[in-house]
Amino acid sequence: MTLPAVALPAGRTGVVTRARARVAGAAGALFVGFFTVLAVFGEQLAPYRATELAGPSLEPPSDAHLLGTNLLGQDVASQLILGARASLVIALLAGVGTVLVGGMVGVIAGWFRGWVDAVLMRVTDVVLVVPKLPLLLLVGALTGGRVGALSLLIAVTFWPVTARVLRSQVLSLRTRTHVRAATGFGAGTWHQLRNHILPDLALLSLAELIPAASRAVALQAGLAFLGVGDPSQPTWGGMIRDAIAYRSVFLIEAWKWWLVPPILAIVTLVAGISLLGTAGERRLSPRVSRHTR
Amino acid sequence: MRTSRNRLTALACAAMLALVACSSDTGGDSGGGGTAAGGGQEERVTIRLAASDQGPGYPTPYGAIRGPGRLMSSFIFDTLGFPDVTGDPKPWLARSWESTPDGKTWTFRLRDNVRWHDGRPFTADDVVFTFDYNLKGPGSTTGVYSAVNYIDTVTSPDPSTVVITTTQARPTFLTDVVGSFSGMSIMPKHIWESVTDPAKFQGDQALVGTGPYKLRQFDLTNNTFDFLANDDFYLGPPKVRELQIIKVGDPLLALQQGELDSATTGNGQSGTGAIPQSQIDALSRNFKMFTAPGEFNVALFFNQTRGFPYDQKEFRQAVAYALDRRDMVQRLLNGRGVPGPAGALGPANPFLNPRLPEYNHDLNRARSMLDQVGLRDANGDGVRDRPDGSPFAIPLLTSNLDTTTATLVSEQLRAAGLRVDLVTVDQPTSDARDTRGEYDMAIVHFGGLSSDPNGLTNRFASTSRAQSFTRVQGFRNAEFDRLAAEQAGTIDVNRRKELVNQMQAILADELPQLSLYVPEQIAFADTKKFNGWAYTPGCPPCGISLNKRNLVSGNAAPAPNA
Repeated sequence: MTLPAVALPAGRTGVVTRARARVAGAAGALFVGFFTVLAVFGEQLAPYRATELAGPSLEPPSDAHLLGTNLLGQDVASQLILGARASLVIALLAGVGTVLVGGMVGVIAGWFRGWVDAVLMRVTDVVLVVPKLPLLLLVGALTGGRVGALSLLIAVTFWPVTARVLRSQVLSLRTRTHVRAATGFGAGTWHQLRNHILPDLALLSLAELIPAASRAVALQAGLAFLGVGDPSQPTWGGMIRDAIAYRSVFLIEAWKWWLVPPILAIVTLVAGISLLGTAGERRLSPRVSRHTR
Repeated sequence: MRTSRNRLTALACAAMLALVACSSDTGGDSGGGGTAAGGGQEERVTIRLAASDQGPGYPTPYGAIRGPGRLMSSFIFDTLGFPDVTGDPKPWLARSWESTPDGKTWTFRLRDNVRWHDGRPFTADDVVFTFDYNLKGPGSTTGVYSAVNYIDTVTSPDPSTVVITTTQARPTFLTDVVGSFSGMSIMPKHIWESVTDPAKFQGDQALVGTGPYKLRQFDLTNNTFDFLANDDFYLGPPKVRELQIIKVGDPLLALQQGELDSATTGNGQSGTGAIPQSQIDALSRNFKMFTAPGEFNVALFFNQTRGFPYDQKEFRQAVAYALDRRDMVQRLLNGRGVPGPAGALGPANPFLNPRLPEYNHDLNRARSMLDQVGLRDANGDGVRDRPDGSPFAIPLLTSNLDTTTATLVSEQLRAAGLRVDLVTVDQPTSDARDTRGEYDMAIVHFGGLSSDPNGLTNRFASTSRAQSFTRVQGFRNAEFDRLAAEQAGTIDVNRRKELVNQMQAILADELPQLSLYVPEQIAFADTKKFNGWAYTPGCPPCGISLNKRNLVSGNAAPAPNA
C-alpha cells in the first residue's frame, strides 16, 4: 500500500497530472492533425510538384521557396508537404495491420488454448526472432517499396509482440466470472468473443496501435533513407538521404533548410502520435490511466 | 589489358589520387620550384594520399587489374616505357626504341644498370620471358594482356636488346606495350618461371620488381599501402622517400586537416554533388588547385532492341534536344564540367572530333521531332501517347548512385511531354542489367573517355563481342564497323584521326547513347612540400597526379628526351 505513495513524487497532484495530460493530448492532436491536413490536401497546399525543378540549386529560404531549394533546385517545402502522405498512410496501414494480425493470432491462441495455442505461439516465437530490418530491406527492394507493400510487410513482421500481449489478456479474460458464467449458459465461441472478449481488448489494442504506428513512421523513413521505397513518391526519409548524399551539405548552410526540416517532421509526427495515444488511453479508461501512472 | 576502363576504375582512381594538372600558373611554377628544392641539400619527403574506397587487389600485375591497384603495382613493377606529363610514352626500363617503316617490328634497347629488388641483375631475358609468359604461358589465361594478341615474336639478339614483331601494324602498339595502364609490367624470370597460377601467386617473392619503390607494408582490408624508396633505382634514388596511402574519411577535409598532401574531390560523381565554391576558396588559400578536363561521364543509353520509339533516330535526337545538359552541369557540378561530346570521346581526348552537333537545348525542335516520330498527345492530358493512342512512358533504369541525374532527365523530358518512370536499383544490379540489355533507356556512368579511340569499337561496333555495361544495345551501322576495322590497322596518325572523326560523326548522328555531362577533375595539393604533382593526360586510371617519373625526379618537368 505504501509503494504507490512513495512512487508519486511529492507535489505532483492528480490535478496537475490531468492538466498535463490534457495539454499533451492537445499537442498530440495538433501535430497529427497538422500532418493529416498536409497528407490529405498536399497537392493543393504545395506550391510545386515534389520533383519539379522549381528554382536554382541550393537557394536559401525566400518568399518563392519558404524552405529554400535542394541540390537539384527542387522546392524543399513542397517535398516536405508532399512527403507527409507516405508517412501517415504507412502509420495508419502498418499500425492497423500489425494490430489486426497480432490480435487475430493472440485472440485465437488465448481463447482456444491447447495445441492451437502451442502452434501459434511457436510460430510467434519464430517470427519474433527473424531479423526484421534485413528482411524489410530485402523484400522492400524486391517489391519496389510501394507504400501498400511496405505496410503489409511491416504488419507481418512486427505482429508477434502484439499477439503475445493480447493473448495473455484473453487468457486472463476467459477466467473472469462473467465469461465463465456465459459459458455456463451455453454461449458459443463467436458470442463470447464478440460480446465479452473483443470489447475488453479494444483499449489494449489502442495501446498497441500507437507504438506500432510510430514505429512504422520511423521504419518507413529509415527504409527510404536506405533507398528502399517508391522513388516517384516523395518521402521525408528520401529527403534526408538526398541531403546527406550531397557530401558538402554540412560545409555550407544548406543543411539548415534541406536536412533539418524532414528530421523535425519525423520527430514531430512520431511524438504527436505517441502523445495523442497516451492521452486517448487515459481519457478512455481512468483505470488504465491509474494503472499506468 | 583493357583499353576502355570501366566506371569502377575511374571512380576509385578519382577517389584515391590527386590528379594534377596545369592550372593557369603551373607551367612557370613547376620549373622554378622543382629545381630550387633539388638544388640545395637533398631533402627527401614523405607523401600521403587517400586510400581508395574500392579494393585495389594484390599489387602484382595479375592481382591488381583495376586502376587503383594498377597504380600501386606500378610503383613496384616497371614497364619498358612510361609517360611523362605530356602523356607520351617515354623511355623508362628501356633506354630507347624504334620501329621499322612498316610498323611491324620494334626494337627496344634496355638500360644496363638495372637490378631487381632482390639484387639480381635485370636482362633482356626477363623481358622475353615476361612476354612469353603473358602471351603463351600461364599469364595468357588471366586475360590481363589480351589486347596485345597481335604480337608475333619476342626475341633478344643480345642481353640489352629486345625485338618484337607483330602480325599487323597497330597504331596502339606503344600504348598497348609500354602504356602506363595497359602496358606490360616486366617480371623477374628467376621468380615467375616456376609460377603456374599467376593470379594466386602472393608473398614477398611476388613483389620483387625493378620499380622505384618497395612495398614495406600493406593492408588490403583498408586498402592502405606504405612504399619505401628503392635507393638502388637506376634513375637515381627517388626524391619522394616514402609514399603512404592511408585511410581517411573525406579526402578534402583530411587535406585541410593536414592528414594528406593531396586529394581529389570526386566532383559530382555518384550523386555526391559538386564541391561548393566556398570550400574551393578555403582550400585554395593553403593548397594549389589543379584542374583537368574530365574523362568520366554520365550517359543516357537507348536500347534499340526494344523497338519503337527507341529504334527511331529522330526520337533519340529529340530526347537530346529536350535535355538541357548545360543546366545539368550547372545544377550538379556547380558549372565545373561540360556537356558530353556527342561522339562518345571525352573533351580532352586527342582524337575528339571538334565539329560534332552539340544538341543544345531546343524544346521546340524536340517537340516537333517527337510529333513527327508519332508520339503525340492523343487524349489531351499533356503527356505524349504512342501512335495508336495508348499511353507511352519511358522506364528509365538507374542505379541508386545516379538518381539525381535520372530525376533531372525525367523532369526535363517532362517539359517535352514525355513521361518517365524511374526504375532505381543498386549499382551491381544496374551494371548487370545494362550489360545484358535489360532496359529501354538507362543512365550509366563510366570513365575512360580519354582512352584510345579503339575503345569505341568495343562499345559500338556490331562485330564487337564485348560484354560490358558501356556496350550499347541494338546499334548496327555497317559504315561504322568498316571505319572501326580500318582505323585499328592505320598507323598514319592523321589518316587515323580522319577515320575516328567519321566514326564519331556517325555516333553523334545516330545517338545510340548520349553523354550527358563530363565533370571537370579537381585536385588540391601541397606544393610547398613537394613540387612534382602533375596531371598526365591520356592516362585514364592514372591517378597520375602521382606520375612515378616525378616521384623520382622530384619535379613536374617533362622527361628530357633520351
